[in-house]
Amino acid sequence: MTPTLDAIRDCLEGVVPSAVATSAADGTPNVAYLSQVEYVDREHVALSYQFFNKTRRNILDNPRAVVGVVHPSTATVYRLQVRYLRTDTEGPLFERMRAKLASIASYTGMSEVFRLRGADLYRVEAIEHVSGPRTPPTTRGPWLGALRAISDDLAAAAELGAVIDALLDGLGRELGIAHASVHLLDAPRGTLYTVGSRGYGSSGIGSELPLGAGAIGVAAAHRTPIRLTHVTAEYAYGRAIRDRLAGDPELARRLETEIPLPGLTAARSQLAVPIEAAGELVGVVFVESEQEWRFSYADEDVLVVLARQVGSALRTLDRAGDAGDERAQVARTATAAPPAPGVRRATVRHYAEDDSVFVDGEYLIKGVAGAILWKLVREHEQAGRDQFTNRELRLDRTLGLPEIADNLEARLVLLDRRLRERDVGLQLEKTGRGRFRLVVARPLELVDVPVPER
Amino acid sequence: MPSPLIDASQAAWLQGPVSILIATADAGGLPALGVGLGVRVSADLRRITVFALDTVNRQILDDVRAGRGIAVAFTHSGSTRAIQLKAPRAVIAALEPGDPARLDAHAASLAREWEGQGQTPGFAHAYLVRAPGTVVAIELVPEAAFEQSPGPSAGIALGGRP
Repeated sequence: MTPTLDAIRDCLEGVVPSAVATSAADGTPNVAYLSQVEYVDREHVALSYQFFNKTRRNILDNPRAVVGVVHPSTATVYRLQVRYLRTDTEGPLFERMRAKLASIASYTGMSEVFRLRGADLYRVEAIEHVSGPRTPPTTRGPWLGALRAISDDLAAAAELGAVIDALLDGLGRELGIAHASVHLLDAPRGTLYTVGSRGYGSSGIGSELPLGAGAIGVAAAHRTPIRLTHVTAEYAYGRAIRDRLAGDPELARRLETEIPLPGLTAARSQLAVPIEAAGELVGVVFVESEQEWRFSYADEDVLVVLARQVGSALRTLDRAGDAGDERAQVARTATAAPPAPGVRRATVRHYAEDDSVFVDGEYLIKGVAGAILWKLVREHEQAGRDQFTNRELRLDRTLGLPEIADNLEARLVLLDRRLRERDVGLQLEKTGRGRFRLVVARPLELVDVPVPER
Repeated sequence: MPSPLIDASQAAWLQGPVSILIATADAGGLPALGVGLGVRVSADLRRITVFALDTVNRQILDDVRAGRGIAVAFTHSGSTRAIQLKAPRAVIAALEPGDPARLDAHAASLAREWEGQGQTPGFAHAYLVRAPGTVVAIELVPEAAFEQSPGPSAGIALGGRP
């Protein structure tokens, strides 16, 4: 039986280097090891093009090549008869391979030498089993079981925060993934903000990174999974973000930098998978490990499927939040209960320039979530209200929410989690679909700092 | 007669713990790729003989019999140093008395090398499979030799000839 490309994907991990034989126009053969053979789909692979070497010259003259791959645990050898189709110098495939190549290069100490010039796409015309035990078909049972268990939890989650928790908890419980985070897209600002994480000293909720920075940013910008088996400095966040900010002062002003991103200092494996819905990017789910080769193609498959379910759920629940609007008028008239007497006053300071909010001098949040909080506390103090609806926030143009796909629910989840973490005496409490209460435990003093004149 | 393309130290390196890849191409331009199971370098350093299993290298052997060119690449995985030898033709020969021991030594040295890099002990032996089939000798007199270590200097000719 001819093996399928899917059945031998593990041979393409690069644990054992693959080789390619080509032939010049005059029939002179050439053989060389390859840095990377990337699985593209069931019929295509891509080879890294780094130098204009003999292999490269040959395939431009004669598109036929044979790629030899070896299974990393059984040493089974397969030959792939392939035909060169084209070279990508940008786009998802190129970015995915560039990320992997950078990680390989850093691993082998050849960062300067290994620069991806292109992703050479080949059609796989035949696969031949050469020697060794045939790779057994992937054991799908355990993966599918884990996928289903997490999917069950996702399906049961009735609100956005619960979806994120179901995903992060499920990854840990079902797949043993101890370090994971979820980042959602702020499209107008071109950033991703952290809404949940597991396995880090501090959650990093509210932290941000620009599109294109690190594995998360590249996965988002190009909407392609980025799976690194030995992580490189190029995809470490501190450096990637610093580089971005150095070249973009406007971004530097907008980006949340007070809250550190969650992340392992000694990560060796990383996998970032875009969360998409209805053809649009919603965010990124990110997992990492201190172990090399921790995440396989199968892990990537599972995360891709889960990320899509999460994407659909987030989109649905974000809008479902408005369903309780009929009762909004009732909510508007309710008045806030005063805080218990004798409790120390909290000073809430708002800087209009970037909507950052500080409580008792401690930084809390900025951006849209900061603007929302400021509106809530102002209404609380000025009108004595503590009941609010998603809809009224959505209609308030001063908050800076985008017209469509505003992710309001996600921002409320972010704000709620940040408030809980900082424990400043303010909390959001859900009172129904699309409605919530601002719980104020201390008397407030509000200070608004207007945009300074320049 | 021109001088050999490789010197004694390079000959010793070829016979060390390096992996061996063989390539040919048929008249239609279809390349063939095979794994070498060991190498013998003649005393005068001119003749290189690589060993391969016949059952899994039928196109290579057909191409050689048809008088087509051959390329053999030797790669040391630890240093990624690689040398590629090319000849416009090769011949298929019988094994000599010392060759079986040479095959064993090659497998053993590669196994040691790869174990040092974290591979399991049996991996190299599984990779250098010798059965079912017959090991044959492919003899070539290289007319070109290239340094092939990754990087911009890959492809530089050895022995003063392109």
